[in-house]
Amino acid sequence: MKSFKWENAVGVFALLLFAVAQYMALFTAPAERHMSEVVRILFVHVPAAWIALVTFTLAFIGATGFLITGRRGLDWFVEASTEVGVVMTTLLITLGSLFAKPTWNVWWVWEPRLTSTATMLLSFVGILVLRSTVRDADRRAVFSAAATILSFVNVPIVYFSVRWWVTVHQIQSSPATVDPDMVFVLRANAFAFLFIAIWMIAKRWRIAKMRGLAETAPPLPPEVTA
Amino acid sequence: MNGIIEGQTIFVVAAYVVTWLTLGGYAASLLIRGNKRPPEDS
Repeated sequence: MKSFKWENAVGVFALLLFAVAQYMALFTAPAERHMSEVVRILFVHVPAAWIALVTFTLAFIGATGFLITGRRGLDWFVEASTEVGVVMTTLLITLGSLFAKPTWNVWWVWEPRLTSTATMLLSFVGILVLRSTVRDADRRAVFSAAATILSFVNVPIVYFSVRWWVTVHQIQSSPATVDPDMVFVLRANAFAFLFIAIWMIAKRWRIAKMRGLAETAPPLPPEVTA
Repeated sequence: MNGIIEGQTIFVVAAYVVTWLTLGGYAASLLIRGNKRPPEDS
């Protein structure tokens, strides 16, 4: 009998919530006065942005924890949350481009928010590349923890870039300035993305654990391998 | 030009298709990799 894994329950819940939230985003949320239907892109773009920042923050916490405690599980957690963060950030940038074209009339512009986000993505992709090139598990864990802490410096820069500099990208909205129907749909999608990310990190953590244990397992005796 | 964006629903469709393909594709890769045995060093 297969053992129950808590993340499977989270995954089923996330899938149901995602289906309902996406339906609301596409069919029940009101169109915006100036952006019309294009505003619906924000119901996926903004949650992807929030969850990307959350996953990289989790990677930073895991990396700091690993350097303090040396627990292997935290190294696997860094690997898992970094990979999920890279997926979310890639999605975030693609969706941002699809929103920029009809609203700004360009696919991309080198302004502070977009540039810092692209830099953040590249630095965390670099961590995954680093992990795949260092064979020694102990050195890999220490190197990637240090690189994760260094890369995390960019996360608050991404968040505050729209406040610190003059940018094309709009500043963060607040529920006070947004139609309540839109706020509800945005929150539903944000929670759906959050639970999806939790499921993804848990699944990816188990893969990292499986590989990590296989890597450190003693070799089988010759009579078994023959 | 009245400042109102009209007739750009193709971008909305593209955004949602990209979202579903990205999240679905990555989820599928996790399920496939999770069911694979890790390669053994020879």
